[in-house]
Amino acid sequence: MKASILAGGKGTRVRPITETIPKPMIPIVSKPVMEFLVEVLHRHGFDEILVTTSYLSSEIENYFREGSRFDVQIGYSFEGYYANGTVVPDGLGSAGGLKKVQDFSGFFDDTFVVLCGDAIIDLDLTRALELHRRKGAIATIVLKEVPLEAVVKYGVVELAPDGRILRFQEKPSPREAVSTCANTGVYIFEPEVLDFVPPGRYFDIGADLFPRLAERRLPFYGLSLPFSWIDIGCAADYWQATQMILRGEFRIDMPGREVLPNIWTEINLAVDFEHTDIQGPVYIGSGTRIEPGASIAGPTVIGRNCVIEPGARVEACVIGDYTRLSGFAELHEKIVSGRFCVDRYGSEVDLARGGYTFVIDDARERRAWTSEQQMLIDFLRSPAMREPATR
Amino acid sequence: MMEQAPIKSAGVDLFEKGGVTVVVPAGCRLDAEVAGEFRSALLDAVARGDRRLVVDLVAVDFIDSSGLGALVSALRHLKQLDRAGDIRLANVQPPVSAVLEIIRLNRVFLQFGAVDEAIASFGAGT
Repeated sequence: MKASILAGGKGTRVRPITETIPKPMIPIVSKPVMEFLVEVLHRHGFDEILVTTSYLSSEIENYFREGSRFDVQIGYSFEGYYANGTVVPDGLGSAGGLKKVQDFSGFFDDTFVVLCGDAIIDLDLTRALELHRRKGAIATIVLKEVPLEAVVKYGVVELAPDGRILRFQEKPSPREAVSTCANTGVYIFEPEVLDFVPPGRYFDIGADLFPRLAERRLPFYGLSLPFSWIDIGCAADYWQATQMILRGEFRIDMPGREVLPNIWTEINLAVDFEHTDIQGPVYIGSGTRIEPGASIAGPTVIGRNCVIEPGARVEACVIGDYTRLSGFAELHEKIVSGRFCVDRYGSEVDLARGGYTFVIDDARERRAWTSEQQMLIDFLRSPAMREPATR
Repeated sequence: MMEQAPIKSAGVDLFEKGGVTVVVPAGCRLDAEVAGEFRSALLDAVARGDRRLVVDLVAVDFIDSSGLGALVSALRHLKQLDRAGDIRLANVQPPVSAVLEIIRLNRVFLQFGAVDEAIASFGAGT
């Protein structure tokens, strides 16, 4: 059976994590979001997966290749062009991208599943497909109840008693919302749906195609099934998702080995567990060094090849690969990704631009400080830091 | 005070209130370009004998290591002259408080929601 994963989005709302990582490749503990989707598709017999890509497409293609590692076949439809030797993403929108594939090869020749590449789902796709077919639907959206204040992030639907979609509203305000039944980005389509997509131009599934299907009173259904769904819509969601997984509230097969209760590690670590303060749940990637005198409290993920120096304090964080935390770093509920430190609400510090590389930097950088930075380092090491200011 | 041309974002305002010197960097960026001027304003105030300073960061949404360096070196100088002297911060914007937090300078610089609160924190007239 065939499926498509929409992986072309720029991930603007997940910036700055998506500066260097396309949204589908954002690691959840250590596995990219999209790999969870490939696995769920494989479990339900979808073995031909077409991935629409655009922004940072090579990151996705180089990881999933032709899919043999996942026991499926994967192909890519790239939306963009080359200019002066660099790739310029030029997305066609979610529906436009599928239309392009269909015009190219007629790939979608039977009922197919479409998944947005920015959420983890654990859904019984076999059951969803069965219900879609039983209704004789041309399109089915898998729905999930969301809190009223969250509707602004999603598309919501007004349903008839038989599950037919009467109205589709994209990202309404809580006041205008016709319901709190949200589009999860999981769709089941008949190939004929693509007849309603104009060729060669930008066309979005939520904003353009669904309202059109609803207006024409086509057999367009919403389906509510119990399932787990974690949407990585913004940086805060990413932080939250990682916290939930490490606390065991969203179950995944934890990577690595659980070497101590609630502490999972990969190979080749330089960590003295007896003399380092590490409170789980914590995952530590391979090649990482945590020096005695550092303190790590969960739920925290530390990526590959990181260096955590004595004095550093980390609590409830996601620390990206190749991060070096100096002994001055105090990170509470943060994401460190590349040259950025982002808090759980999405506000960011650009470490390189701010000259804070003496606190957090890339573990591969050779250190050299400006006199200004050296003065700050000296101050941070001075007795003044041991006598906190008092009112 | 000299009138500032409206397009010029750099500059430091200074006034005295309730025995406290309030220093207000005018631009939205406290970086290498303006840190020297900012540091001089603080050090000049200290040299004049001011021991209680409040820096109003209401306009500042970006501070780099030289901006922080200016604050820290002025504080260090002040503490050498008078251990009871202090530099306190008011109206710290989220991007700046995030930096103070990750580098632990929030333990050194007390932060207040408003200038008057920061002034009052020094205690009346003593």
